[in-house]
Amino acid sequence: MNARIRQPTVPWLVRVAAVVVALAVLVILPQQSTPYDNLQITLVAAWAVVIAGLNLLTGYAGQISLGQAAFFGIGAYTTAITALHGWPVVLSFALAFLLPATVGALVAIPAVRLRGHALAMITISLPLVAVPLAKRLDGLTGGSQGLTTPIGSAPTWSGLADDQWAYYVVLTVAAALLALAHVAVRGRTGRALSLIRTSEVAAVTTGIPVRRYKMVVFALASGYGGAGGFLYVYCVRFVSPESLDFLLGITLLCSLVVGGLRSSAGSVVAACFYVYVPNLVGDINPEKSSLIYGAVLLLVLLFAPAGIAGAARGLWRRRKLLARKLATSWPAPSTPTGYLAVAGSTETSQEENGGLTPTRSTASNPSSKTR
Amino acid sequence: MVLPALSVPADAQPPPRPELLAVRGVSLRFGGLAVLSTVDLTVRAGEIHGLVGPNGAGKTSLFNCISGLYRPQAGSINLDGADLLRCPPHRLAGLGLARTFQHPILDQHTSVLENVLTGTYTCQDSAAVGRVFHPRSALREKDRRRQKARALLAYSGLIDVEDQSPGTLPHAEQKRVELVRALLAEPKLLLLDEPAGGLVHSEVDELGELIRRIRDDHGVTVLLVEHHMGLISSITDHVHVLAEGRNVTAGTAAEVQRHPAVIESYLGSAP
Repeated sequence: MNARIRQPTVPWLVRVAAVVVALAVLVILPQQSTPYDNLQITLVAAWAVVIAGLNLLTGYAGQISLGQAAFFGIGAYTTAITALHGWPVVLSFALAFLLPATVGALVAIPAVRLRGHALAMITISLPLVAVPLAKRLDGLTGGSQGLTTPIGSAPTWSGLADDQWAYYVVLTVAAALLALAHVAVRGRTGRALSLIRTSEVAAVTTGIPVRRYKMVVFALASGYGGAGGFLYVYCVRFVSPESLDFLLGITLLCSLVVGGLRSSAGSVVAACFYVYVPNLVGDINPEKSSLIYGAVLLLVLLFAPAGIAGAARGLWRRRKLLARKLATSWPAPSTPTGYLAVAGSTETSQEENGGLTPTRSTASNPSSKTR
Repeated sequence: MVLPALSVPADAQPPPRPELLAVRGVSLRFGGLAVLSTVDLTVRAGEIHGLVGPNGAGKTSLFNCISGLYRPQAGSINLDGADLLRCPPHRLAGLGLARTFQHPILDQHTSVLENVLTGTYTCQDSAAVGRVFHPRSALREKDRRRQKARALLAYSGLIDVEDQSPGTLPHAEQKRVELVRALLAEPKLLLLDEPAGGLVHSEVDELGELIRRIRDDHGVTVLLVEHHMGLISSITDHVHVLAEGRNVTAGTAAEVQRHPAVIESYLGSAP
């Protein structure tokens, strides 16, 4: 039943409707909710960009990277420092994207010769270098104290509070970046990446310049990490060496897997997981938070190995089958036909059918009437 | 370079077809291990050419040299006049070379159709800028490729499974998926590495029929490594025998099977 892989899994119209509804909710939301909630949603958007970058590299190109935290850090520090020097915010953003992308491309030169776990090992070293560097260069980075930076204040003409302004800016930029990433991995490029992920040898013989692809994806993923760092600083206005700890790289990878590889929606789910689950777990029992976090992770991997987005896609694909199952089990066989008869004119025909024939059970479930 | 063991009847056919692939004096070593020693191979356009030999003869190594995965230390490989050894491996597909593998390499996370469309990589216009400025023609082009892919899937009896994951298909069909992917690259020369490996008898016959049809309908020259002598005898025009990394002989399947050196390399010499 899982065998069929249809390309547009969810119909086009449903997708558009979902996006429109989501947009409407997201536009109205900050007017109604507290600054804390606004900040949380803004953070989800910022991390979604970081994770979308990782998804390009790990999900699509199949290159495991634990170093995304370092590129996030470069982006965040670039933003903080340039904002402190009064640079225009657009320039800060451009630099927060380009600088990590360049570093990423440089790292990629040796790294593309490696694959799988060897690449993962190399990328671990990046945050291990970045954190002490951020602490030592205290003239530039403020050392262990970190940097507080004046960015993301709402202009007076907008009439918005700072948190609302940051919310709108960060969500808009994040949406644009996610859309770009979504488009970038479709068609020819997406197929090339999926063959590289499957087998580099097969990819080369099909005419795909594997190393060039890996370098570009590595640079792009790093740029997304940096852009996420910019968005993070834009709403938090603070960065310190702790925020690019090397555990972050591992947590991001875990979140991506939980959210779902190779799915744009998966990156957003992953960011929600990254931002909200530690809070939720802390609320349940602050002492055992890592334990509960780990248990959640294991549960997702056991029951939804393709991540939450993958599981949702699977459910959607099998919805007819599931609806049929529900229909046969839900209206219990013992239900007196009399009750059904008053429910509506469509039920009358079932009386003639009688018994538990499939036609009856499917027809009495409203969710399956579309067929 | 002429080798004493090589006895090609050069004037067997009256009008010799043009040479498509010319392998000359190729030697490949891994450290102290000589895998190929001065191997020569000529494949003429429009042929189905078999490459046979006992295990470890260097057949797949020669394939890997031709498709750019290994760099031989000596010799030259030309495809239709282009020096393959001077090209980076990913350029060879654009020069008209496509191959399949002993074990099908397919992405299980996408459909059969998406998998075979990967083969069109080199036939596609890479300029994304062009696509932005001419969206209409780009869409038509995309449509045309998709139709061609589906036509080839239908041709190979795979159209019913086009939106399934390749992992759900039987081995023989997975091999055909790979074959279609290679064909979509519009190659001049198609390299097939043990296409009959792991197939049951009736599947081998179907495959032989398919390979012959591909050659006839698409004008593709085929070079195949194969252990299945039945397949070799039934479809090849020409057979080249390797043993221990050296040329043994070449000729038609029937000639080659009678050749004493071939019998010796497979069965050992009589006392």
